[in-house]
Amino acid sequence: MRALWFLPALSRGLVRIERVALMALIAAVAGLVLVNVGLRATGRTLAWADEAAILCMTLAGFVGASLMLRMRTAPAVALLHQLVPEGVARGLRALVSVVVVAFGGVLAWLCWRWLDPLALVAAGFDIAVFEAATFNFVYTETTPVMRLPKVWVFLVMPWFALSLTVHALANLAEDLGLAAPDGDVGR
Amino acid sequence: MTALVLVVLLALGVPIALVLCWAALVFILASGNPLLLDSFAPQMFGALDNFGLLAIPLFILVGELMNGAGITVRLVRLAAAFVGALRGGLAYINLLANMMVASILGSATAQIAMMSQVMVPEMERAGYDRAFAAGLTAYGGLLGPIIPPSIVFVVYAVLAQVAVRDMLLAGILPGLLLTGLFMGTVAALGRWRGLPRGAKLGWRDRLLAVRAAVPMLLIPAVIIGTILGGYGSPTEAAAVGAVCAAGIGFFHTRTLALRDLPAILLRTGLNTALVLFLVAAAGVFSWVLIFGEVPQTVAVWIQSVATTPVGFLLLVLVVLLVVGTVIDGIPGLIMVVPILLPIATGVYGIHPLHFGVVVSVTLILGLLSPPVGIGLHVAASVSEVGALRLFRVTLPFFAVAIVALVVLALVPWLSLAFL
Amino acid sequence: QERAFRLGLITPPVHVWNQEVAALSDTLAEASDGRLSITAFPSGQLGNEAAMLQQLQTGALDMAWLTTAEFTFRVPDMAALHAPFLVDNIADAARVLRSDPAREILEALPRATGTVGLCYALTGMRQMLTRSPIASAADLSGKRIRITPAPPISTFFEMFGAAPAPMALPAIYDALANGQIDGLDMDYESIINFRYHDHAPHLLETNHHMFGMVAVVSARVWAQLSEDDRALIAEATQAHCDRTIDRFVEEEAGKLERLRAAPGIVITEGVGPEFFGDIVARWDAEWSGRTPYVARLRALVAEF
Ligand code: NA
Ligand code: NA
Repeated sequence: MRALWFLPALSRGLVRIERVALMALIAAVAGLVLVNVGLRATGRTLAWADEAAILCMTLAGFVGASLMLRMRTAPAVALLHQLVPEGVARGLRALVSVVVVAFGGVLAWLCWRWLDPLALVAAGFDIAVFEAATFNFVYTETTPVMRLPKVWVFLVMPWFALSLTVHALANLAEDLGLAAPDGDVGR
Repeated sequence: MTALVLVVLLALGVPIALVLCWAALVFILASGNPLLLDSFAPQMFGALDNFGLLAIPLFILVGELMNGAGITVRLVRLAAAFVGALRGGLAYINLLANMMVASILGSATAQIAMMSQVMVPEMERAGYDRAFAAGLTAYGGLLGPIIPPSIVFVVYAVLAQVAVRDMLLAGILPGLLLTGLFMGTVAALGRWRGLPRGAKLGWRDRLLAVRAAVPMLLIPAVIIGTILGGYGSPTEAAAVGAVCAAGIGFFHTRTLALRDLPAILLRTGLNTALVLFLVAAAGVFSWVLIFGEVPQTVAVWIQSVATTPVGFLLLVLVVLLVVGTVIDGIPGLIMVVPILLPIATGVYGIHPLHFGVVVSVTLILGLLSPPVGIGLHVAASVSEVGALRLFRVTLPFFAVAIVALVVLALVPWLSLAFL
Repeated sequence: QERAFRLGLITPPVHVWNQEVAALSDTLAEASDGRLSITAFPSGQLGNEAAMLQQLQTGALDMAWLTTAEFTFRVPDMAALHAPFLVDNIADAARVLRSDPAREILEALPRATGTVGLCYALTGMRQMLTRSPIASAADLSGKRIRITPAPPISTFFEMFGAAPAPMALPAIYDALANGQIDGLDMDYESIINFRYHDHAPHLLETNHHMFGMVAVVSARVWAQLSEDDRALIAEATQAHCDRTIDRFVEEEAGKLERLRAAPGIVITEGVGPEFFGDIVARWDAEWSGRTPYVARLRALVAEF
């Protein structure tokens, strides 16, 4: 048992959730598009199905990106890694993980500023008061067809930021030998 | 500063999408406009909120199901039964298959991701070097957004206010030119590198191949029929194609079972995310650059350097080739067209359709320029080949594509013949 | 000190709006001895209208020329400007946009959207363009018609049994070509520019609603400007809003003439509200509950 064993464990838990979510979202995208094709044959059409399909695709993009960063399969320029000795390459991998962790942290902070939960609490959860105080209208933004509050789908961004941070920390712990590589999700 | 961050992070091997995000963040801070930070996350999200992108997951899904159902293999073998005995036969088939798919798909990145899964294993089985197979598929994927229909050309038409139909027609000859040049390259490489040739089949075996493949032809027929018959968009056609492919896999070839579906959905999701995350990052990056008026500044500089229309086009070509390495076609067009088009038509008298072909093809080729072209890295990761080898193997194709581009820039007729 | 305001809009550089924005920059520079100017970001370079609105709210973007349709999501009163058959010609549309009730609607903008609305203009009247011939409203039933996403426009199309399909501009031409939509709700300017009649040659000259624009400034940015600069900007913008309106009123008839000359096009002229039965009464009944401006604007037009 190595010092930071809990990071891969936590990451593995997230991976399980994200895999199921990704499969469900892709199935939903295909299903929604098919429903509209089928209905077209009968002369009917669902305006909301296109919108729902696009929302599912967008969510799938970020959920899948998080998985991809854990699996280290996101396209990268691996030129240098192939040219240097293995010891240096291991150092490079750790450095890359640090850069990813840092981005996760920055994105989480940006999401915090964007959704501004403290100001929402300060406004007593009164959206009108919140908007007057911050000029931030994120909580009343709706999708054009379904009029769904967009903030619910926007929540994928903070999820992505936090999940990405955990995954990259797990990768870093493995790179530094502080945790055993998780064969199941590591690749 | 931003350029330095970009180059250093890319060289370190940071995922390209994250490099673009970091470069955008650094640019925001360096340009002293921190207010943009509050639009960073919504802008990233919004970059994917686009109807055209729906084609990506569905076409990747069709590809996965066609593979799982053994359809692609039979189609490729059908072609191989007839031209497989040529030296490099499968390589020609690869290009022809890409050309056919090109009439369906509009995104180079999506096409590369899908076709790599189909063609690379088959070519490797036939004795081709995997890196060559992956590289050829990547260049075949270039044909997707050039031969109509093409999402990239449609976006250009809208930005430039030219008729979409005219723009799509303008892509036909350039697409054929590139296909022809790539085939010539395969022929030359075939002699030089000794590409494998398949066994020459007798008529009996050919008939068997035809019989095995006939039901499979249903898929392309359904997809193309849905689009041309006016029954649905390419995205919807792909959805119908996916149902047919699954049906064939479950009931005809019986190589698919329900328990395979989760894995297929997961792979589709991961390959979709690979493309979409790049689109999102490129979207934020180009938005930040536009805000900083970088493209506008570049336009002023170009005007001060180029004195003739040809000089202007060649300069645009070089600049966009560099831009295109990290920015996908559509965000790239949105960035440069509104700025460069008025100069091209107003100052240099270039036809907007001709300009559109040159700009679009350059941005698309940028996807494959070494060492950072996103398309090559997509091909490399999907087919698990080192990017370095991929670059080396595909250099002849890159050189040929550059020649084609220069020809397209110098000969407006190629873009305007069908007007 | 010198300041170049960033102004975003979705129309391409050749559009009248963009030409007037360029002229507005010159007017501002002249009035401020070169101190103030405008840098335009055309063609939705900064994102769609919803994205630009978000950037106006943070103050990253200074100004924008946005369609009235976009504001109907947050300002129900603005929906009254999209009331079907409110006016029957573009000259009257111009009078509505210059009226006091219309200007009052702008007062809701800062609280509801974080922007300050300076003035209105438009991009013409909306017509219907379809793939197949339309002889009666019944022929439109079940048809999938592309609309600009906006609640009052959806209501109108739903009420005569069509399926409104909100869709971004770049997707329309192909959607028409491959039968994904059967028709669209569009103004002459864009029909001509994008040649939608290639695939949808049946034009109903309905003038069924006006398609307006609001010139806005970020409320955050506005709060930081001096009284003098605000007056200067408001006056210059008003001048170019007016010029835009005048140009559309002058050129509308000529655009119809140009379309009439297009090969293969079939134009049904003078289609009025009666074509759609009691649609005006039904639409007003639904929207009058959400905004008093439907009644006020109808009363205003009755005086014309
Ligand atoms: Na294509
Ligand atoms: Na590119």
